Amino acid sequence: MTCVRPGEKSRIWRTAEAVHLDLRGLDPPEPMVAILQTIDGGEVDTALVAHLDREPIFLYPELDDRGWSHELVQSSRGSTDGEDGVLLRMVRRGS
Amino acid sequence: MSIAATFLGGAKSRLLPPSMSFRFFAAAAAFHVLTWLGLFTAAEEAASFRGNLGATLASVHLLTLGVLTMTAIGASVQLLPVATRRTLRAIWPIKLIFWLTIPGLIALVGGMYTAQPGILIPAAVTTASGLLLFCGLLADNLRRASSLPVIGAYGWAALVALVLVIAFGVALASDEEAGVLRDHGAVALAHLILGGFGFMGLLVLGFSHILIPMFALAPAPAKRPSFASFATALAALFLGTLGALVGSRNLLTAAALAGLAAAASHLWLMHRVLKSGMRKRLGLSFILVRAAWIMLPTTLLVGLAALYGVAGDSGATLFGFLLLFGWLLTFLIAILQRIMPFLASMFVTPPAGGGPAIVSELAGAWSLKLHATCHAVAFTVLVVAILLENTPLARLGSAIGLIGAIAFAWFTADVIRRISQAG
Repeated sequence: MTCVRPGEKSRIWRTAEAVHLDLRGLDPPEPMVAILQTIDGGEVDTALVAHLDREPIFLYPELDDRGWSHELVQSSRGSTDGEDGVLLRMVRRGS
Repeated sequence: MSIAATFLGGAKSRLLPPSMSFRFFAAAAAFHVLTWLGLFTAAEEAASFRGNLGATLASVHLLTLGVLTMTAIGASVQLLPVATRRTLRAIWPIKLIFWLTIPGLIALVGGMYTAQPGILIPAAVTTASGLLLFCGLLADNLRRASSLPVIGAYGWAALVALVLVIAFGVALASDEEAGVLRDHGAVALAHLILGGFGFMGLLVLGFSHILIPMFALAPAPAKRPSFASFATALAALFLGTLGALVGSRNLLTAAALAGLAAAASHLWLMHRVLKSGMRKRLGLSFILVRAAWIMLPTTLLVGLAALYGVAGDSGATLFGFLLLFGWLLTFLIAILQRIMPFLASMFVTPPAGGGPAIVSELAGAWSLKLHATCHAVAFTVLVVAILLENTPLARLGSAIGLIGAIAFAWFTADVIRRISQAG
């Protein structure tokens, strides 16, 4: 696991399967903005996995517009405030 | 870290079935058409409306309860459980809210239109039951919204305002038959202030803190100035309600000035959001949002002018029109035309070949362009009609507004058709 570019408020690291972004603890819509910045910045060559407090429903159309698909999965660890968080796995369509 | 180790898989979205929120949005679109139709038929009294029973009062309630409140309920039941991270325990209360408020509203409007006080009380009680159930649902969600303190504060204040609006509304309906109020006009003004600036206004200001950054792809406004803006708005609302009830021009003046300060701070926060946003081209809906933002301080300035008798004979009518049609309707229709495609996209599979997604496709719909044009023209013509107390102009403006409302209903039906086909 390699840490590639820790953000001011979020953590980002890379595994063999995906680039991970930990966005828990951020107020909406900051997680959505961080994900789109990461995608638009061309930093993701495989899949992007976002660790979130809440489901970013307004992100989905933005992903569609950019040709990305998403899969919502539950986090087994929960979020920072003890509530169930979510993991969102995103991949570029056709990749 | 292995993905497989952390994923449980098959997570269920907190989104409700589309029929839950879209039944309210469809109702709002239908009542929007009826609002303009009501104004068209009542053009001779609409231009100089002073709050009496009749077709114009019916149209006003088609707008406030039918369009604005239905939009607020539809958006709240869908978005709040996601924002507060708590799934609703059951969906039957949402259905019950719908089946209480819609027949109640139709009966209430019918009673107002035909000026039959006998219908008003049972209709008001039925509508109030539905709205109080919505209050319970909203409260249940807000008490768990500690992670969103600004939205929570606005939400609680809006909820209290709604309870007072309901109480004053039932009292006003009772007064038409039994004459229970000492000053009907004072309570009616408090009802308008609490409904327009309180319940709907605070919800609009609160939801703006999350929706505007979401659409502009920007960070949310800082908490401290947001709370300062909220406190000022709340003070304005308190002063305005009290001033209306006791008939104090000084209190109403203080309320208008505090309201202007709250509006200025809110608009400054929103300006900062747009300036820092990743998305600069925000499309047609944000032309309407910006127009609504101009209407907010304009409404307060006209209210202040009307208070001192310098806005002409129709100053009070103009104040109410700017508040309801200028600020609230313009803003909510702008947000609704943005939210509906977003929500629809959750239930419609994107095109496999990478064609335009539903949000982009619907953003340029001809029906939205026609609606926005008609809304702007109708609004302008009606302002002139009110200033001149001119019936033909009021009828012309209402007819143009009606065409726009039909175009918006067409757009709503198109969104629902796409969801139905996907289902």
